[in-house]
Amino acid sequence: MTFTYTVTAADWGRIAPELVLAIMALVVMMADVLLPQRGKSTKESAPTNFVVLPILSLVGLAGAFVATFVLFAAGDHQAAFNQMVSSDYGSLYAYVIILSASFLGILLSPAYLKRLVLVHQGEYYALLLLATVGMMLLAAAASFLIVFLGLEMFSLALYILCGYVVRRKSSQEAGMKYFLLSSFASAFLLYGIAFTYAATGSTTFVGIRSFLARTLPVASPLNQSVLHSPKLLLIAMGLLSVGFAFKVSAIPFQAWVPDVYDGAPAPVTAFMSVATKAAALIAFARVFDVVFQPTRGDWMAVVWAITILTIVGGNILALVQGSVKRMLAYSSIAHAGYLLIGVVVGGTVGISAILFYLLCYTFMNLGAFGIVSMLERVDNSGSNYSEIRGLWYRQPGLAGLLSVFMLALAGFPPMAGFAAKYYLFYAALQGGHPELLIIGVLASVLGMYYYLRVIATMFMEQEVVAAAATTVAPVPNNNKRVILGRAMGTASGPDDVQVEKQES
Amino acid sequence: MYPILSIITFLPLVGGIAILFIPKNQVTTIRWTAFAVACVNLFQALGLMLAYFQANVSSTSPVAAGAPNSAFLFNEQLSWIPSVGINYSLGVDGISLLLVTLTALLTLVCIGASFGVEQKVKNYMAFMLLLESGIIGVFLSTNLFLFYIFWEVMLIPAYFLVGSWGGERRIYAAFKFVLYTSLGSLLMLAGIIAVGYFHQQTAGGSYTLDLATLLNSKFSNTVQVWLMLAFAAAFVVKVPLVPFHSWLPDAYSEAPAPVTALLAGAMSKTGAYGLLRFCLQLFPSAAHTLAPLFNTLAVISILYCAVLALVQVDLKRLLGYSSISHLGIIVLGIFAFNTQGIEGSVLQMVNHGITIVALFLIVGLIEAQTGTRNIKDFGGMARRVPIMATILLIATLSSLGLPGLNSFAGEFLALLGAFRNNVVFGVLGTAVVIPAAWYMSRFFLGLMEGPGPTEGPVASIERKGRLHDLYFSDFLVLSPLLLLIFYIGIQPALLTYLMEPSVVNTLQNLGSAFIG
Repeated sequence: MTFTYTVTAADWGRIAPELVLAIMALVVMMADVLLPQRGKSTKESAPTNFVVLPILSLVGLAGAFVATFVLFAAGDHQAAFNQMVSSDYGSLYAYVIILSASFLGILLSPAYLKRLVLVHQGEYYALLLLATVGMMLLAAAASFLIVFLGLEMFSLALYILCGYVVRRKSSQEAGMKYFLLSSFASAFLLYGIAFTYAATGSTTFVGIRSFLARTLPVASPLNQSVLHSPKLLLIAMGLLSVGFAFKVSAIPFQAWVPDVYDGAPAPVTAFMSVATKAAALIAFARVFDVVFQPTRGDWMAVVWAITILTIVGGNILALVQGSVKRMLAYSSIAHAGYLLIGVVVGGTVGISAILFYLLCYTFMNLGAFGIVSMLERVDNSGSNYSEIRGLWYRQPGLAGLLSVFMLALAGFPPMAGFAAKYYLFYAALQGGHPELLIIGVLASVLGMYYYLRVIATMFMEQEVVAAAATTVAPVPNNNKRVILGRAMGTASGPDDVQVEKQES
Repeated sequence: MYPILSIITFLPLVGGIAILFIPKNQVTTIRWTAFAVACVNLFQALGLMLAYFQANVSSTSPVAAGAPNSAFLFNEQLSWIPSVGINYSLGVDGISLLLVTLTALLTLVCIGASFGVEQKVKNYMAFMLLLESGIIGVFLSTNLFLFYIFWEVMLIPAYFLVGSWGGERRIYAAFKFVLYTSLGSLLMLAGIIAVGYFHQQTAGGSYTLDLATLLNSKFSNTVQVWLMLAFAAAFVVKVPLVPFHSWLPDAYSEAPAPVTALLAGAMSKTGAYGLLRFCLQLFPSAAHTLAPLFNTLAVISILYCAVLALVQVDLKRLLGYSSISHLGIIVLGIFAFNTQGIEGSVLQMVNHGITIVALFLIVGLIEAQTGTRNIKDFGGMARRVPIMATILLIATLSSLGLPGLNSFAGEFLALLGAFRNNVVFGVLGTAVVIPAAWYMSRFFLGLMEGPGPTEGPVASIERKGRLHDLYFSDFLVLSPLLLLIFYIGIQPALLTYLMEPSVVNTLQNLGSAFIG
């Protein structure tokens, strides 16, 4: 079998947003070295400027935005590099979502890094940008090779980012846990890809789709419920669904979510909770609703069950959490469940509902985690319910904003969360799944409780004086130089008292 | 054209937002701004009423020459999200006109009665105005999506008002309130999405949620029953009917008195209005099928809550249960499917709003002075506070349905309608007169008459001579309610004149045989 193809300039143009970001990631790393440094040993040396690198990253993201809009307006919407990376409207919409999440995540970072004296910013911003590139590749993948490439790219970057707060045990735990579990999931996915290739003889989406259309018996009303995929393909779809369900944090593959989201630095959590989900869900929808569309009857029951489990389980588990950050982790599972409704429904209406929901969810959830990042301390305290009691009386601005985000996440009209949910439920009914509509609606009532509980704690409960005093005081800003030296040393100074909260 | 409906709906919202920009310490400015906004909105509502009259004098209505038009007037329609059938459309008919005016009036009264609130005045006033916006929006929306938005917008300020400014168990009460109501409303959301879907399935065309279009759809009876149950889930919780009522005593007793008054006076009417406007109009066949169910629930609410009101020691809880009982009569009248029943119900919505607000506000004034709501602490107050006692007596008698005061006409018509529909329900509904007279006289006599307690908080305040009668400002706040209690009692025809064509229209849509 001969295989020839040429790379044209148009191919590079179709991945321009990724290229811009990848180049900018390199520029950030260079700038990191060139900036004036402080610190004696290599371990401590880091730029003292907390402004330049985020601005560079934001410039890169702005460039990627511009490239995306140019592709929207003038692109040919063809897949680049011989059916590898697509640049259709779905991909470009996904770019907008992921880039927005990255943009907001980076906006949240400088203040957080500075407050927690996390000095190695070069890696931080470069990894964040590379993770963004990986997610964009995953969302735009038109071939299983790119799916895996994108997945690994952002996963590797996120492992490091999750463990970025070296003085916090839970952060390191988050990085390690994410690494171990995610590697397993990636292995499942890769295995699934291999089986798919074995069953269909192709790794590109177009190739697989045309193979299935060619070989599968046409489903008649009589045999619709009968499995009609080859056994190899069934195994492949099973493995792939495990890999994707893990990445979108669907139950029963959610075990990593609370610990990772809770331990990771809040801006990273904010970014990954939205962007990972967006990229993985879009890939999920693309693979199952488009590529495996002919075998819909075979995988439907599994995805349907995962959807219901995730909606119900996520909402129930979120009820009993002790801190806002952890509650938001579980709530993000619940939202993944709502989003999976779109995968079950499929078709234009299902996928457009997913995309719209993701866009709304980006701003709500990043906002909520953004407030958490402003409250968070080195030891990961600051957002427990006991600590945000009466926050309204201390910081009305933060409390007011957090309430707005909570109401939006709860789906109160006239906020975006409601519009997104409405459209998704509408899609459920249009797609012939009234049961998902009912379950989604009932589970939303649970959501009302835990979101409103945050508001009640901030507004309606009086501040308890000294009762919720924390073991570790927030790092005072005026004493930065001393602490900078110590913090960057070994993890055994008096500042490094670990307060690990046993919550589940 | 002057978009009067939008202005009435959004003026309080804009006013509420404006209040947030006033510095926190200028409490007087905040209060008077809120009062002024509510006042302007009441005048807008009265202007709307006048314009509604005038529009009808010239119209050639099919119902009767000179009678008001039955269809929606002053319609405002803007395309919003046409692909999923969502329009911004407002309209007013005789029924919603009365309820909008009632809401504007009650908000003004309740804001006037809230000048004693000292904590977080700014947020309090902003939420009160937001609540007014939500309630008025519910009455004016003619697109189901828009209706749902207002329905939920109503919930947020109510949650904050109960939870932040209430009594000791306020957070528990606020949560119970929100969870009960949002369970109902989310089921209604499912129903709303489904109505559009089934309309598209049966009638073809595009997905729409416009009430006017949906009224023409022909669903099968089974579909109608399920849809109506989904809609009614939201409405029966808001009314509430037994067994969906258990949030009410907690929310009403924990909320500050003006908030309780507004919830009982205006917000509870949205539930009854929803049953009348949406359940009956959209699902006429299901309404007939399910009428026995709703009538039974109504009768149970009427009697059971009247009996519960007999044994309450907390004044606000007592009034709360009496409120459920009265709203049961309203629902009974609606599901009688005849002119008397529905007219009586709408009339009674207005009357109950006026009376219950007066009662709750007076109880609030008493609590503010004495610090207690326990009926056993009171007695013989009429000697110290004669004017308050007189006004309370009038409101109590109005609540009892004394002929010549406002509630008589409404309750009489509603129960008459129930009798014509079904004698059993009529008899059972009317039987409430006995416990009602009992608990209201216990309420009034326990407070104002008798020898009075010799010890306890009230007695000590009385001994110190600190118990004062109504201030002139309190009297001013209550006076419009008193005027209306007498005016509607003597001349209910004005209200029935306004609503009659709309009621007849509703009944024609129901295909009822009882028009007359």
